[in-house]
Amino acid sequence: MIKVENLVKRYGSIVALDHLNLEIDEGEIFGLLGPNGSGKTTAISCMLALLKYDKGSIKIFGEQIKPDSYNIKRRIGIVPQNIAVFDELSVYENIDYFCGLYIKNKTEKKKLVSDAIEFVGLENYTKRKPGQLSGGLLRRLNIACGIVHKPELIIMDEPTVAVDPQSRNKILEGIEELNRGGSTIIYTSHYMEEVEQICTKVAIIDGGRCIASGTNEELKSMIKTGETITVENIFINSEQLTGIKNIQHVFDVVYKDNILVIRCSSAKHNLVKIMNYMQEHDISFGRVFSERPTLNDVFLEITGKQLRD
Amino acid sequence: MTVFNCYMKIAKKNINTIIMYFVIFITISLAMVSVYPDSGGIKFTGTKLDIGVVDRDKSEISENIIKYLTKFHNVEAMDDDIKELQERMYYYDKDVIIQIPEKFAEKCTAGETAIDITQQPGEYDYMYLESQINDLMNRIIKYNIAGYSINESFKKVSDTPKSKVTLLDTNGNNGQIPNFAYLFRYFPYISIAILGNVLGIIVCSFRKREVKNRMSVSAVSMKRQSAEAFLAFIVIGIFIWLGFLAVALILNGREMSGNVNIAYYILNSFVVMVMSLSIAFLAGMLAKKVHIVNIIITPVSLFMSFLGGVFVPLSVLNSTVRKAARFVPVFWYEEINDTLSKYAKLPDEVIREVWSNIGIQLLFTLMFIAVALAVSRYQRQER
Repeated sequence: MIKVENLVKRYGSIVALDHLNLEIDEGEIFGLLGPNGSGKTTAISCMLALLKYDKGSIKIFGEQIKPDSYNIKRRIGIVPQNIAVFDELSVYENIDYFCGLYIKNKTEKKKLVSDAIEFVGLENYTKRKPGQLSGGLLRRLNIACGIVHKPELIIMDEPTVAVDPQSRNKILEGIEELNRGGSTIIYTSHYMEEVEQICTKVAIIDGGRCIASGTNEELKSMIKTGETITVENIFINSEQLTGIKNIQHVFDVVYKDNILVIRCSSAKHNLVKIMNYMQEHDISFGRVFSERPTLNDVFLEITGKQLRD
Repeated sequence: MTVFNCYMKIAKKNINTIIMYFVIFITISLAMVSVYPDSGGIKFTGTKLDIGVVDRDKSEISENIIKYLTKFHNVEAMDDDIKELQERMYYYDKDVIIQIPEKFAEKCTAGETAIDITQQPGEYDYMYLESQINDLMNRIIKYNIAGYSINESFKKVSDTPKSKVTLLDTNGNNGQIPNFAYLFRYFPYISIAILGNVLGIIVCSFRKREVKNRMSVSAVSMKRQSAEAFLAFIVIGIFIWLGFLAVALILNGREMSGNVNIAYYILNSFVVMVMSLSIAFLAGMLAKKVHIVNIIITPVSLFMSFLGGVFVPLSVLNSTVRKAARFVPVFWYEEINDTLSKYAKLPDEVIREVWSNIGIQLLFTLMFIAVALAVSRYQRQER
């Protein structure tokens, strides 16, 4: 559905996109994951022909996108990072206006507007102006304006920034529902938990480049870490620390502030082996928990820095 | 027509602003019309004073003076009693007391000031009376020197016909300014204030980066969006202009329909409306937030109105201010308005002047649009 090849975008001497390659198939929820300033929004802006790029090509629905590609634009919905509505119009009027930019038939438009209002759960707020809505409700309005014309491709740029947990869950559920309804979704975020939760395929971007892409499992299988075991309130000496390091499949141990973090490669019974060692050496400890690798671990191993640095 | 309808919807939400400015306009206009009911300027009428006269001379000349003053004032002969005179004056029984001294005629011919005029402190009626007496005496003395007796001199002065003032009605309008000219004078203020506040806010809302981006990726072409916005500008502008003309017609319909220059008045007001649209466009481009529009438009509309001769007639402005006012488009509007109000029928050279002033207003309009487009281009590059 979307093919981005060798996309280069420069702002003066700054390279915002450095030969970016992406391929998004129909029916996917495609996550663009990367820290702030990694080039996610620039990539989206280029895909929508809002920005001119220096090199490369972008094809959407098999056609090269240009500023006057109105037949392509008609099939796309956008939910920008910042709230893009008129403060002077009510919730209903805003959704109706943005729907009107795509749909001319009045009856059809009316139905789509009421569907969108119901979809985002703003039925009780239709007459309110944006200034009278909470942050979460505003985000929902922003989404409704972008999806009201039931587009085939929806591009969502960080739609959950500064949103309360309740609204966030509602938004994420909504995105999955839109996808079930047949829309392909491009979802940019720097919240790895969200991307992990809803995206069927993920591309990790850093410094304007796609450093890894694939399904969650494919990405996690690319790295050495198979399991991270954390032991809290533990008191051990250097000899015991070396002993733990020598346990099979353990490749990294960090002990700081009485918290022990052990990284193991993917293998069975890593936790049991560590627990046995602590019991044998009469080591006292508090809470113990084991985690599967996250996208943050993937990012950390590939780039050497945290996703939220 | 989605963009056009959105303009209309937001404009409708500002209907309170429009009504408020129209109420201000109507109130000011009615107040002005009541201040200048006949539009012909201020009229003055003579006043009859209550005068007490003490004639110590009892001569032919003093008797004639009293006779003469009786033609214009209420004159009462009084006894030469200083206490009584003071009392009558204290209780305002008399406005002025005149004392004609003994040997008045001799003093008069010797050129001395002889008559004593007394009035309450802070009152100035005596000046009027003094000039009347001086005028009379000058003329009598002139006749007397020419060989006429005192009685004959008085008779000659009394028989002199009253001077008659004839208005040279070179403009053919009897020197009168029509009432509706005052309404047209105030139009630039409400035009800039209403259109600036209403359309400036809409332009600013549409300029919000996120809204603009969302519209750029929509199925409606940018050309069409711009065309619909332009149409909305014109429609809203014409709506306000017609509203103004309707108010003017309601207040002064008969006078307007009878005025041969009315087409020029209407054309001039249309041009100033178009100029106001360009100011609204510029304000919307300059304001980063909606509330800034009002902060820009309020001082701009007041500044242009004061300097351009909306609130203060151009004739009252001093030459330095008038020179500065030439840089304000409203000044050229008011120049036309003033010219039209002075002439019943416009001579050819005045018609040329009217068209040239209209041209200057249109140049200002183009300048505001050019600046707005330059600002827009700069903002795009900044991003």
